[in-house]
Amino acid sequence: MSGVWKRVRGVAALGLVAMLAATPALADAIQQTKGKWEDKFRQLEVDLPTPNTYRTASGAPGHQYWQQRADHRIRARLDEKAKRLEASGTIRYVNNSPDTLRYLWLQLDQNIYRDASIARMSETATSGGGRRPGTGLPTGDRLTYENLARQQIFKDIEYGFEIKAVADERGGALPYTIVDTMMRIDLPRPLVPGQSLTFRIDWAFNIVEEARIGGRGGYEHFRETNSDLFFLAQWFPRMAAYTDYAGWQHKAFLGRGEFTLEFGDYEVAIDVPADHIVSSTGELQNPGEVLTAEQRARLDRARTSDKPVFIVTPEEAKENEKATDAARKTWIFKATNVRDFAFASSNKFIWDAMGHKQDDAERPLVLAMSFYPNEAEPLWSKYSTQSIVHTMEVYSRFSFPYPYPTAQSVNTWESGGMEYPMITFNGRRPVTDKKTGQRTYSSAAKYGLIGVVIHEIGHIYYPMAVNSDERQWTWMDEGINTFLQNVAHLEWEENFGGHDRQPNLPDRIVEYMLSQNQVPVMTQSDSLLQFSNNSYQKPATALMILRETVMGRELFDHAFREYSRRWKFKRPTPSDFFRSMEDASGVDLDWFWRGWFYTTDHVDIAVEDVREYTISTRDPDIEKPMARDEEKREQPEPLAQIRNREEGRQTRVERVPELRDFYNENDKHAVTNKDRNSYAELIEKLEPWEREALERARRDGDFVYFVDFRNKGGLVMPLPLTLTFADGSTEDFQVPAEVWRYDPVNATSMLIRSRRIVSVELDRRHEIADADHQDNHFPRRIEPSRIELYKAKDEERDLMADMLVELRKAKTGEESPAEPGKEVPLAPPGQPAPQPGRP
Amino acid sequence: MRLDRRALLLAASALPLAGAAFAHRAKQSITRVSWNGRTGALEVVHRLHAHDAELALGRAGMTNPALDGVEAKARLALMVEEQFALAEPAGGKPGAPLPLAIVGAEIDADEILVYQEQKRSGPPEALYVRNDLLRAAFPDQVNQVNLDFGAGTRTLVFRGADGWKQVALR
Repeated sequence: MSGVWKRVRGVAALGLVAMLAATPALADAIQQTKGKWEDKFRQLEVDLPTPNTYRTASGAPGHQYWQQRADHRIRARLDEKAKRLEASGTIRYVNNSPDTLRYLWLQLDQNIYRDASIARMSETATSGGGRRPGTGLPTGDRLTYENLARQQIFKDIEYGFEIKAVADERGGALPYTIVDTMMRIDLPRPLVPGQSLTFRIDWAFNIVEEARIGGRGGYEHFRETNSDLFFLAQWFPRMAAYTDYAGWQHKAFLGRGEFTLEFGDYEVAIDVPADHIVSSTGELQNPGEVLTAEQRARLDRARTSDKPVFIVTPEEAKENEKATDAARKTWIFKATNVRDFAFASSNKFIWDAMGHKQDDAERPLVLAMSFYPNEAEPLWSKYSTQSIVHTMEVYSRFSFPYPYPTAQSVNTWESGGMEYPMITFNGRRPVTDKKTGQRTYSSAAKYGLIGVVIHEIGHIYYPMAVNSDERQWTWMDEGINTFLQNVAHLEWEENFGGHDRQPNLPDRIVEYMLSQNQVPVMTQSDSLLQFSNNSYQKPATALMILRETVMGRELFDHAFREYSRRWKFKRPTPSDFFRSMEDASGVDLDWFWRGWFYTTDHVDIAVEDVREYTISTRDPDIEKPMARDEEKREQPEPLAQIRNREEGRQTRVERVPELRDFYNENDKHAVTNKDRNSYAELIEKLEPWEREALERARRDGDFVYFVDFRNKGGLVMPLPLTLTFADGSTEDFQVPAEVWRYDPVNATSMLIRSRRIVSVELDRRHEIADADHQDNHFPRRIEPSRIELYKAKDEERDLMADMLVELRKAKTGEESPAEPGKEVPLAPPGQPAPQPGRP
Repeated sequence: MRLDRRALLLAASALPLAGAAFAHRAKQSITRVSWNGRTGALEVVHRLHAHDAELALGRAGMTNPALDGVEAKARLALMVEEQFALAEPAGGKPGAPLPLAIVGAEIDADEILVYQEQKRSGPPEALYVRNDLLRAAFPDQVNQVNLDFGAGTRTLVFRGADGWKQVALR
């Protein structure tokens, strides 16, 4: 292996390197107009918003930080037959800003389903171009059954908010204007700083069937039992946020960019059919009126239980959903300091609960609860509530104690999840075997459920408590939350759901980061391409790398906790996060934020070359014999000469000794007096400190290595290196990212080791998201492709091959089963429809 | 405006549903097509969300689509075989689809990887790609294909009603 090394023996010049650091300061550019040099380490301050009295340069809320406040009192009535909600509510709006407001903006998110909404009008059909073979039609002109049905529903039912009244405290009508999903209320008198205003809105809307229309709330209809499950979100006019950095955040709701909201207290009375169970943001105020004595007793037991206790059992829920009770009940909930309010209501709910004790004087006990239909069993009773408790344990360690009295998980759909204060809507259900009727769940459903509950409950910290602007920056809640979700995964169980492989975030983001069609993480939510990868996985991976590789756990955790505490119940922006992480850790991370959040560079670093040296002592009595030994090592003895010796053949010179002379005794490596004299002269001329250094080097006998790195991907990263020594031992260490500061493309590190190194490997543990590991070894090593690795798993492959043969056999002669979304023939009048099928 | 009033097939997916996307986890897949000079194979690695794939298999009529099982993996591989195709250009159009062999499928955390390959003497110069993965099940499914034969990554994105797309690789 050492033959691969470029060996350069001789004097590794011990000299001074004078760096000329007189680069003229250029105004504002990372890339220069002359040359190719890029400043990957340029400080961010010039690009971040100027600090002010609201937001400091250290990333904390400033001494005049302010935010608005909105308190709500609402009475709502759920008409389960008409699938309609009617409500009336008052909002008390407090103007804490230094500005006088002449109008207020509110969010009417249900308006996204109106016929003329920007979201619906801007739905696009992209075409791949070309013609569909056999039809002559453009390939773009296709329609699914689902979409046809959806359009038919829109034709039949009018959606969106019906605003019945907007009035001031004395009942006087207030003028208002609706702008897509936003509503402006004009005030009779300007609302000056420090004052509050109370007004009333009466409204109603038709509830969407979520499976047909989509969205974040609605109802789910169960055909088998003819029953419904309602889950209401974005169901009341909510105040638009008014902020110090963006004024009114009234960018229309397009479906992707989520919500920017104000904190406040809520009191909500929900009138539902008497057989319904309601799960809601807040704490139930009238259990005596809506729960049975038995249910109340069970709830008390649950508070002190260390495992979930049924409040409504699966059997009771099954009975309950059969009943058709015309009576009604009103559930009253109160919530303090929340930025939103959601609820779910159904006669299908199983309900379990468990107390979570935490070390917090303000809130020593949190009630973790789950609500789900029998269709979700046996998966949910086993994992939902336990996952809620696990989330609070992990997230609180990274931030602050869970800040609310309840934490709930409601099963409202097949997959996906959505978060609100104290309540989350989550997916994942078992499958029912059509023949046996037995319900089973896959491991993907199990780990999917645990994962989604962790994720959504995690959102109660970010952004429900650390109230970032979701409409603007998806990554601030999704990226941070996905990072902590992964921390919680690995603390739930090693190799969480990983089956045969450890899920490793850096490895999994690589393919996305190689893509051409990327936008930086710092992009407004509705303009993101590849939404999940951009605002979930990539920032989550970045934070994982910060914690494990760049900063280390101690510094990262301290800084992250500081950010979370600073901004609990306040509204941080990206710069507050970037600044806080540096301010609290003392680590300059501007290069990291630039690379991972402001560019689309990827990581691909190669170990290009390694050169080995020893330091020459200059002493001919040491150096010349060493040179001889080395020559012998590198120039093998001729085979014929060896065989001659083995045969016992004597050479002429051996047989006739008088043929020997000076040259037989002294080869070119022989030390001469001249050598010794010039060595003495050299030593003489050295300064005393230089002589000491040389003497020390002679004693140490170290090896010196120059390792060349090449940055092919663009992102500058630290270099986690593994050295393997000739004796087989290894050493791991890391070169900081700052190695790239003078040249972002080529860098050379010098290593001095007392033992000889035989190989250098970069990123052995796959921690920096390096895209190509083929060039991470020196000497080069072949890294098998993913497919090659799979092929080595013989048993798994054989099983699969057999199954494919079987399935292919079964398939011939049998029509494939009906698929949703399959093509349906449409024909103009008088023309036969063609047979469905794809070319 | 010209009205094309001939037969229109109601197809896999016509419109991305704005606001219909699930709150989290957009429906996405990512596929890598690359040339492995050591084994002389065109390698195709599809990366799909396992749960989405299970839902799609379920909606296609499979009773137990749990991907822990080998049957579900095989059925998914066959679905991929139908819904994904590569073709070399022939007269400005996609030629016959390349015969991609199914190598296998395996779970990687919450994703499922499906492998295909074609043994051949060298990488193609240009390719047409068609990617309908899971688009029958999810109208808002977005599929991305990264192709890299040594000259850098090229990316194609398939959404809505996208059909064949061409990419030059050299």
